[in-house]
Amino acid sequence: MNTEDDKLPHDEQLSSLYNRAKHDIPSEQIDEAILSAAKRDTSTYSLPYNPFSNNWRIPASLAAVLVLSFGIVTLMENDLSPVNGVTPHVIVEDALIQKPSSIAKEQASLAKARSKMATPPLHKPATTEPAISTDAATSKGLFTSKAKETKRNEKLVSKKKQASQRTKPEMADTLSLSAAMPISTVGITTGTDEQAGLPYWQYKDEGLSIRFIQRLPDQTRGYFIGRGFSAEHAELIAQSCVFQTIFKNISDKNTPSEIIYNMQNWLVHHNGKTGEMKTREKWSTQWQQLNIATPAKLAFEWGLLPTTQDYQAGDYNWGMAIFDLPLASSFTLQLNWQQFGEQRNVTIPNMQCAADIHADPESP
Amino acid sequence: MKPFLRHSLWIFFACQTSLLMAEQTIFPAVAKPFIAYDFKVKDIDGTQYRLSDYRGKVVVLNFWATWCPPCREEMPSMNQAHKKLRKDNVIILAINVGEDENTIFEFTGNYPVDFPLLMDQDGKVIKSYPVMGLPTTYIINPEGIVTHRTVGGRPWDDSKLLNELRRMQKTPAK
Repeated sequence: MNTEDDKLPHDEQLSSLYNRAKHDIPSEQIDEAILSAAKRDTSTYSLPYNPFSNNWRIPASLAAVLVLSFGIVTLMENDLSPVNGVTPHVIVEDALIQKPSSIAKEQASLAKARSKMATPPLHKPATTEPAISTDAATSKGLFTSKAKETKRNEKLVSKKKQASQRTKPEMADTLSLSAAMPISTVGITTGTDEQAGLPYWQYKDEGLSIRFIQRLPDQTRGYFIGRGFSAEHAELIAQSCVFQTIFKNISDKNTPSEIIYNMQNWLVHHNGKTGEMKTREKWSTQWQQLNIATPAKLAFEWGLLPTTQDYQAGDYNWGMAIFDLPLASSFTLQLNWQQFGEQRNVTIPNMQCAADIHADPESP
Repeated sequence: MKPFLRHSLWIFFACQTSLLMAEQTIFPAVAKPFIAYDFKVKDIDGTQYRLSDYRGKVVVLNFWATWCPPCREEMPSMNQAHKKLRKDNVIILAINVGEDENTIFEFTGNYPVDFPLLMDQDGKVIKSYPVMGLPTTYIINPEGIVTHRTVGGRPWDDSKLLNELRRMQKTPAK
């Protein structure tokens, strides 16, 4: 609110001038003159560079969307969530590398867990196994004799004892390995495969997922007898520590990366010795000498995980991996492959071959 | 309001671009395209099939076996794809490795299939292709050149895969 004190010295003069004007507002000519003068001035005027102007908003918002989308997708892909509903047991790398005293503890707890896992729910046969193999096994009388069953149970008890005695040398294998080379065990999980009902060991990172699932010798016998092998020859395979393997290239579709591996470069550490896996090529020589029929040989060859393979994003194989070790033995597996332009290595400790446990047919 | 619309358009464009990039890897291309080995084999009914009879069409050549879980898993979707692609000059041929008529016939009881199930009992055909594991599927272009390969099962009736095969049939070879 204006008071008398607020009045400026020329206010009265201005008021009289306004009073003399014909209209309350300026004439149109004056308005146009002012507007055209203003337009002339602004057309020749350029703003100085302002880093906070609107120009950065589009690229910044685009970049933010892309980074966020990529981040979310990568996180989803790398999520080490339980596989097939099985809660995995995760082995922490630090526990094996940095704290030698905790290695023994970890190994002991794993051995304990393993001894529990070595007695899987046998009354639930693997659903991944084709029904044919079980039928074939049954037709060959593999599940019939009770006397045989008792013998096998006795065998199993003694083999379990042997397996537990072997735990100590296997611990030494892992310890000596960890001393000799950096062991990466991040991403390794163990548990019970939901479909097979048998223990598995899995490695998973942003580009690869590989799962080894125990196969019972009886499953292997039944499978190969059903594919034309004699009981004697099927036994050779069944006694060689067989795992069902699922190998997947899980690299992101937007940043796909090929996987190349050669199983001949993988190493198996058992009882202080280092060996290789028994590949289809090694078996092929043996089958040639034993005059195995072609269909059986083909089923064997294509049933195994390829010795070498290249997988593009989304590619995968299922196949048996044969370690050529006594049943129920523990071992450490060193894997390597090429992906993302580098050689990658991982060591899976404390893997265990299935014992020769006899599986009862599921009661109706 | 205007800047908001402009930004939204840019974001939409970026999303579309990334989706298109993702679609490019539906079928991984083979490192070196090669001439498809021309085989002559019988199906379970004794009908003879020759690959070169399908020149001018895209051929999806699948190697499989009844005992292979991913092979079994992809078979129903492959059959759906066969039904949907019949009019588009895209042919599906599945070559069984090492098994006999009875085994395959028994399999079709559980997995009805309308496309030809060919037999490679002595493994001669599979040895002529660089197959390492089952299932492996090759895409052969109308000129008889193997251009793409997938290892492991795929959802063959997925619309993206079907459209990609249709596109391959329409696109002239370079």
